[in-house]
Amino acid sequence: MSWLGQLFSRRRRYDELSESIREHLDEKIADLMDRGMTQDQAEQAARREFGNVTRIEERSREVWQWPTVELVLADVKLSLRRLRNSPGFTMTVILTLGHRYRRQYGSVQRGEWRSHQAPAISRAGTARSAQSERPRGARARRLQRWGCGSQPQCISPLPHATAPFSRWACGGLLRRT
Amino acid sequence: MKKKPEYRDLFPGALELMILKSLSWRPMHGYALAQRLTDISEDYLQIEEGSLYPALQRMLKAGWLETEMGLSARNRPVRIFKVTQAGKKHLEQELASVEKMFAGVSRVLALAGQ
Repeated sequence: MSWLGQLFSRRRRYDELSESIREHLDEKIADLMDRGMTQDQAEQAARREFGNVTRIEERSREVWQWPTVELVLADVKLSLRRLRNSPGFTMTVILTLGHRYRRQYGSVQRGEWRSHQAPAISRAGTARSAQSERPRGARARRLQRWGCGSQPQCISPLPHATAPFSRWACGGLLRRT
Repeated sequence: MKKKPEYRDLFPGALELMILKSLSWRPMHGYALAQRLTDISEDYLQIEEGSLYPALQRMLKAGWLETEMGLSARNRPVRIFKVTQAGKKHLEQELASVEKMFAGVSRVLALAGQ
């Protein structure tokens, strides 16, 4: 559980780190002033000899971070910020994806699909009725996964991959009355 | 601080080793530790003060060090770094390994040209 402890104590670690660096610089400045430097000269000399405080603090903090997770989070944050900054592009993407989703799954949500009627999706993404070419054999079994075979009223928009999930999904939650 | 051309990079773990050895002699705060390392290394090593902090954090994370509040020589409250039992054990292992490495390198350098 040490990783969990580290996660919660990280803020405290960061504060302690900043404090340690500040104490270091204060001690050094006082030392240099004892040697005859003015406050300004001592501050400048202390910072020059210490190095780039921000960079050093950043490198020290990195020790406590999980590089992969934090990089992914940073990417997600950046993407969201970019999307917020260009609302026109964001709306275009949402409408395009939403339109595509409706074309594929819209009829399922209206309860028009049945397990034995799952329409084949062509390459162009258009759903055509499978009524005229009712699937048989292996294809029929594969299509059974779409919708719940035992519950004809099921209107789940999700492909039911497994039987337990299928029963759970139809447990009154997604049943059409 | 700009690195002078006559200084070479330390081998990995060298800074941690020097910090552990210094702190096992006496627990110290960051500035005192930097001063100590600068004083005893004289002009042989160039140790940037700031580079101590990432190393100290790595060692705190590894459990080789711990901190506690104390007072500096000027009676200011400061964080003191102390070596833990795990740190002492690591220091012993590393010293043995480094001595062996130096002995090997010295031997090769002495005999390689003969």
